[in-house]
Amino acid sequence: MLKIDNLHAQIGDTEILKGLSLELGAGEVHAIMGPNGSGKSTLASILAGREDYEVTQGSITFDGVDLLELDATERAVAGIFLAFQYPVEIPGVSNINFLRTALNSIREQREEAPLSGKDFLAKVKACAQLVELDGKLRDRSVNEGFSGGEKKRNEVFQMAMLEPKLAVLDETDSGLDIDALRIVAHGVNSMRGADRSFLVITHYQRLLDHIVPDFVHVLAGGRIVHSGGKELALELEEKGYDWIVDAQATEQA
Amino acid sequence: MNEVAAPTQHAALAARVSEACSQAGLVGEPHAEALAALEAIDYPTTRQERWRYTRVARFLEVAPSAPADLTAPPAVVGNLEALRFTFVAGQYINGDVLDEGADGCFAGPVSLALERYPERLKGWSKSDFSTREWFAALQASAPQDGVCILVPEGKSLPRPVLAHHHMPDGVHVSQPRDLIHIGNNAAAEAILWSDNAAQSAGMLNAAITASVGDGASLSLEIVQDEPGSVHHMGHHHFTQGSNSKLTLRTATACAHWLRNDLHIVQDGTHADSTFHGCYLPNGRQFVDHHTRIDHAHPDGQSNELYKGLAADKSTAVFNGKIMVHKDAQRIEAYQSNSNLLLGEQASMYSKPELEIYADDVRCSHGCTTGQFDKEALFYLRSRGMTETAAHNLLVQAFLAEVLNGFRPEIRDHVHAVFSRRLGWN
Amino acid sequence: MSAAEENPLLDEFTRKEYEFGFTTDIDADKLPPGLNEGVIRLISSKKNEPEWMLQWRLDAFRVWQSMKEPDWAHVNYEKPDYQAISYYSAPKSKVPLGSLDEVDPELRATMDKLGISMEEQKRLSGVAVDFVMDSVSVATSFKDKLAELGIIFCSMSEAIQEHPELVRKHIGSVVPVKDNFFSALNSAVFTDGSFCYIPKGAKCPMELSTYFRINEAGTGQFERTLLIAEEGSYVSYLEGCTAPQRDENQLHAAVVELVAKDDAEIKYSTVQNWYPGDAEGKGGVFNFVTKRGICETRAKISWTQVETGSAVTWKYPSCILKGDGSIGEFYSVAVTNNAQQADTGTKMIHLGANTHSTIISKGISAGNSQNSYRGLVQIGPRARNARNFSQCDSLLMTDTSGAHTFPYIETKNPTAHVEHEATTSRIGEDQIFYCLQRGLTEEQAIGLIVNGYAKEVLNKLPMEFAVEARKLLTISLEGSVG
Repeated sequence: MLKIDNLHAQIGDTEILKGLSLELGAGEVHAIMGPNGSGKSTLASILAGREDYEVTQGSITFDGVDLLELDATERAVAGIFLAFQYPVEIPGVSNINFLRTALNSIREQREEAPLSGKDFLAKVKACAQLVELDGKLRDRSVNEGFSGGEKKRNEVFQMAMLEPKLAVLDETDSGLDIDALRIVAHGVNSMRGADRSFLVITHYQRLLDHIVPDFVHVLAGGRIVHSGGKELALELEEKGYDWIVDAQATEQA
Repeated sequence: MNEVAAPTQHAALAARVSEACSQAGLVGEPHAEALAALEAIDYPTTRQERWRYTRVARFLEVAPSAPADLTAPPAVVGNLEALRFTFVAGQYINGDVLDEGADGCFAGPVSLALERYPERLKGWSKSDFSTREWFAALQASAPQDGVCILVPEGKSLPRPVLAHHHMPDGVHVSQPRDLIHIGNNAAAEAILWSDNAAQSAGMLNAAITASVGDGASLSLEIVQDEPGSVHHMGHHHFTQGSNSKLTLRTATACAHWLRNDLHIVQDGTHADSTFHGCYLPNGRQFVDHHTRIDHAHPDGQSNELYKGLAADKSTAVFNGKIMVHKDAQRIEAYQSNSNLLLGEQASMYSKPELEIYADDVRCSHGCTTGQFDKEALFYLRSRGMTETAAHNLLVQAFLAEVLNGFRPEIRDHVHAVFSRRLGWN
Repeated sequence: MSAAEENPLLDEFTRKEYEFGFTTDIDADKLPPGLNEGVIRLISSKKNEPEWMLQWRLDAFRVWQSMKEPDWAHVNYEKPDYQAISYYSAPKSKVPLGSLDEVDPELRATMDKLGISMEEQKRLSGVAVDFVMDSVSVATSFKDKLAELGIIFCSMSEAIQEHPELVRKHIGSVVPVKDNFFSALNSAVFTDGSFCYIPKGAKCPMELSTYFRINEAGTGQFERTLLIAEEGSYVSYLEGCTAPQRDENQLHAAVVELVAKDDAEIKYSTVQNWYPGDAEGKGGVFNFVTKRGICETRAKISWTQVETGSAVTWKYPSCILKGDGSIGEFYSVAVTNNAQQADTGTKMIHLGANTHSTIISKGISAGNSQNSYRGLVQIGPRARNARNFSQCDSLLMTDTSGAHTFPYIETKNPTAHVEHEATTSRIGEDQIFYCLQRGLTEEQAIGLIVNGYAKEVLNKLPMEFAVEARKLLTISLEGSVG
């Protein structure tokens, strides 16, 4: 479904990704872990099509389509969803209006008929329940004045509404207390399915207690340096990243 | 009120001022552009936008004489260690001249700098006010003495300079100019102090011109403590190079009639300007701060904070303009003006302006005019304070943001002047 | 690489045609260009005006002749040649109209194109419309319904005939003839406009609405609006403006006077979409308008405006808060694009005690335009406990446009509380990206963000207008991020 091959990317003159390769099958959940500054969020941004990064080498294909040829909107239409690490506030635009515009814009570009008001509201209700999103938050401006936990729940709510094929969760656990974490994880888990993949980017293992991955990858120095099953996360929690990073360094030397 | 000045009236004023200044002694040649500008520029009236709230018709009545008595006034903030220079009515009296030679620091009167290092004053010491504004042109057409600070590249001034300008009793005119040049990566601190005698009158038409080089820093405190009835017109012009830092604090502690025209030009990238000011007119006093900063290059910052009170029948004016030029991207500019209006017949005119021609900027201004917080006042009194003590404390708190930036000796002096003037101590 | 190549949307946008840029071919009864006493006498006699009206115009003309056209610091334009303008243009079908059906079909088609078909209006929205095309009011609807409440809503010409005592008493009482160059000119030559009178205690049950259009080439539009709300009455008035696309500049110098008596409330909303000229700044309307209201005790006047059109706008809808406890409000969104220039804002003159005013101004600058807020808050010596809050924000879309804020705050009473805040920033790239990631197109993203930014003001508009205003904002700014 998603194939990243030898990806090199830089911002300004600083190279951040240095030959990253990764493959995700349909329905799979992959976790990407790694120390700070290893390039995790850069990967998320590039997948979503943020223009600040320049891809200098390598390729990304998504369902057989060259993803790098698509702009951010087209990627969303293709079914890529990014849950932002820092969700953006848009004053004066209500959450509900925002989502309706987004949903119908995607549908229009997919040449589907817009959702009726009734169907839309039914969907909102169902999705909001999924992450226990307060009705008031739906009518408030997008992310404005939301707490950290509310913002993250709102991201998962939007994900549920837009039903992506690939959801990239960028440090969705950061700033969450344990209850909020459980709610967010529940939302994600109930969306798992045969034709939906997840790329869960996190610094800590604890999120993976709740969203159990099929594969775990360690990203360090701009490359995937180690991959394994879900047990790898526990090992990382226990031993830290140094042993892998050091082993890698020795190998390279 | 008829504001129209017949050309002959202000030409006559210019002639009287020029004559009085010449009699006392000019320092340096009047420059030709200034003389031409004096002819060409209209005398200010309230119909001109920049003079909307500032009536200068009174100046036309000034008939100055050259002062006979040039006795040095008592020292100000005696506890402050500094290189001190005293000027009376635009004449140099005495001072701790610092002269490290042609390649070193110089601090002394402009008259001495012109004698010893005329070439070091070339190219930067004329402010463009003198070709734009009538009073600045008048100043430049008959310039008198002031302090000159020259710090060459990479050097620091060993001690702060304190220049003390004084106006004696009687009706006089004084047109001093202070000149400050900080070379690249050099640094200096200075205090420019003006005060006058209780029976002084006439006009103080003073220019401060400073140039701060690339990577250089200048910290300047201006104190205006003028209890007489002198009309004071100030022309303060600063140019900053790349990565330079200017910190400017102006305290108008007391003034009968005063206008400061401040203009800062960021003539390089990553320049940083902080300029704060405070004022407190009472009685029928008039205080006007006109400020302008030009962000002419990218990545500059500025932070402007002016606070003041207007009591009794006084008038305070604040006009601040932030100008961001085209292509001066990533500018961060903040401006704040807060005022307390204390007198039933006091007036406050505030005009904070933003003029922005670049898009990647973060600029904001805020302006408030109000009065003492009644709740706070009540709270203090319920704790046993007298009304005056409570007022005093609240004024202190209100002005603290600005006053605390000054050196403690100056802060205490200014606060004491404020308290005394409003009868709170 | 040019900006246009970088951004195909920008290119597309700059070529966007003015939506309402069509002209209507109907016979017009038009005076040859030029202005002198004879022209004024002719206008007055064509309109069959009483002698006092003619004298008032002639006095105004003399005042105007003695005045100098102002120069403004932040607006550059070539001053109109006042002798090259035709001061009167009326559609020829001037037989009094019995019903809407008698309106010239061409004119009706125009109204349809503007989306204000009268039947539609009548049937669906309950808006009474007074349609002013080139200065003469063509038809007014809902008159009967309003008459039951004693509300008079008619053209100014009709009011001069039918209600001379009301007109004579109030015209020029809020905006004196000699107030400024353009108000003097308008007083001399105004051809028509709207007149509205709400009797004591009446609450006008519907939004009163007028559409202004400049149709005839080389005509200036000088309409005059007078709105009187008697004690305890209420009215909401909407004004929409469009003009056809022409190469030469057209002058629009209107005067609007509002009188709110004790406890009365007037809401005055404007959506202005005059032709702004082309991308190079050729053509377009000069919009030099004087709008002012006077509030008696506890009265309230609220100005709401969405300004997207005109080549040059100079306009400061103002409130004189004369009565104790009166309230003035000003909510404005001003969008400038291409070579447009706008200098707009308000004046809140606090004379009475406990007077309150609120100013919310949202400027949006795109293309090579210049957008200035200029506002005066004046607290007089007798205005005890006066309050003002002003918030003036500017949003910049390109690095070739300008956004400026010039507030004047004059306080002469120590019990006043005046607060002014202003910010200027660029449209948020992270906001746009967030929207794109959710599947919105760039145009939708900008439309959404800008509408959110202007929401506080848009929310003050009556429903029918708000929808149109939102659409206008989005259309005006499509693809304009630099």
